[in-house]
Amino acid sequence: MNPYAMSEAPVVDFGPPEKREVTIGFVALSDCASVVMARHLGLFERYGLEVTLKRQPSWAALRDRLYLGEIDVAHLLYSTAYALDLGVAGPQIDMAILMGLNCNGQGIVLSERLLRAGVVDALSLCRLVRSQPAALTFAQTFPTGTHAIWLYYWLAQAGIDPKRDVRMMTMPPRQMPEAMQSGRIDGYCAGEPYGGSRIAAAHGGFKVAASAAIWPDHPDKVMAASRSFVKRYPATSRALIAAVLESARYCDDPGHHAHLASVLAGPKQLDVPAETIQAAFDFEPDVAGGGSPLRFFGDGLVTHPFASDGMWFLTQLVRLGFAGEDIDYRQVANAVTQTGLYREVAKAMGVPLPEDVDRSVRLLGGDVWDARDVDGALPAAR
Amino acid sequence: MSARILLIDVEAARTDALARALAAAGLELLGVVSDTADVYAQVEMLNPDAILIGVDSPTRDTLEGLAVIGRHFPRPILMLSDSSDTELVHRAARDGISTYAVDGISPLLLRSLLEVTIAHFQNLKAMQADLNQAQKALSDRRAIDRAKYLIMERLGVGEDEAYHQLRREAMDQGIRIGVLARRLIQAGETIKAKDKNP
Repeated sequence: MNPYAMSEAPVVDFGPPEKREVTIGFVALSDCASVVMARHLGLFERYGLEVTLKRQPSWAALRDRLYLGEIDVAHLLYSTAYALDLGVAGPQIDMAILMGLNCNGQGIVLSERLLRAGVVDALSLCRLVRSQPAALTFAQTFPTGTHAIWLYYWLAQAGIDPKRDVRMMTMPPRQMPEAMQSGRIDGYCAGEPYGGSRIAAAHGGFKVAASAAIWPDHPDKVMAASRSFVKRYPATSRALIAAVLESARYCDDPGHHAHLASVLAGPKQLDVPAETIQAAFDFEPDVAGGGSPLRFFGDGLVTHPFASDGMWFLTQLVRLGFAGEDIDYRQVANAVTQTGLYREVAKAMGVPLPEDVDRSVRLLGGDVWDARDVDGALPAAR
Repeated sequence: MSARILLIDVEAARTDALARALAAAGLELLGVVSDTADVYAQVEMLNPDAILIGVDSPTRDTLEGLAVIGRHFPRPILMLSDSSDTELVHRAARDGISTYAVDGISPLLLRSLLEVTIAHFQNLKAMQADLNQAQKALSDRRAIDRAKYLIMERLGVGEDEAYHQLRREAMDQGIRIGVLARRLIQAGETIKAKDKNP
């Protein structure tokens, strides 16, 4: 028996899983913690599943393997789940979001060369961009991913046109710090630990903004599968949600942060020193002292999949030019978000449930996204 | 019509052989780029019609970024609308190769590209298997020789008799003669070590 397993928590019976063996693909970032820990703590077994975790070297590989059926379930960028559902910038898969995996824990990092030129925030970056002729280059992790969205939003909010005023490129997060140090890029947006201040500082950079500055306690990665998987294997899907929910609760306990960090530090996981990883679980502010810690459970608010969040990510895919403005936000988000399935499992496990399946969000700059008033909120979001 | 091919981070590629095979199919190999190179700059400069990249290369995401910039950049082949060669694409992926191609590439050339690539990498795999087999046979023969001399020394018998004993013992134990030879050598070394440090 694993000493960390929460044997005191009762195992809720969700019926025998139709499919016991499940392969989950993940990318080596701190926000995969609740999935990796569920495996490590033996929680999948507790719910009758045999899970194989497969670390993926790129989001493209993860996507292709999901498409080819080589993996069943993915630790996936929120917005990319929607890009796949729409079939933009890649193959089309009818997607299902089972639950949220984290909030916060992404960061925008700038080179100290910019700091020396007087850049301390987005507005001073805008002044520099206006005053110098050479375009700065920024990197994000995947064209349809959340890091592209956070970076575009943050730049645009300060008056920088991300498509015209700067050069944008896509790069694996592990390569970003060195690319910044060598001068190939001037800054980047990435998940922890790469978007964190420790790795930034070790490569001549600084964390100028935490993603939480754009949307406090924003969702970022989700546990996703194809809709056909969820339709064929509903009991398996419930068991997956249950195991990761239990894991997420474990991950949020400050007393467990050192344990999470030591597991994630392993060569088959992130292969990054544990203390570098742990900083984000405790609290690691950006240069302005802002931000919020990376969270996995948040009393059930982090794990609950809100259709309204999905709709906001859809508006950002439109903004980035991947989707047309004629998409039916509500219909797409309702089909993707497995709210009913999640709430059934969470309720049975005694996890607190928000009353409303939508929520309103106040974003950087004061714009409010309220999916209950889509017509009113859309112009601001786009 | 020809198509220009770029290779990125493809392990163990005998690129000269691949280049010849590609040329025979009307495809030109532009070059091989490592994972650590500035892939953005390379692709922009060389302007390939198709890219072959190791399935597990992290740089694939960089290509995804290029693919959305414009039509003249190769896109992941999984999303090409007229890609009827799904089975070929899957086979290439199983052989560790992801393919990116521009929209305008002729389906015939694309098919040739996939076929040549798959043949090349399966060939490489077979060659590697042959090599492993040969190395194992050689190492067996060395072990058997050494074990034979151990037996000759210990029992004072001739070479043929030592070999017969070795073979009989292996048959009795139901193991390969090479495996038995290695065990005898190891046991001999253990005994020697004990003799030195009683």
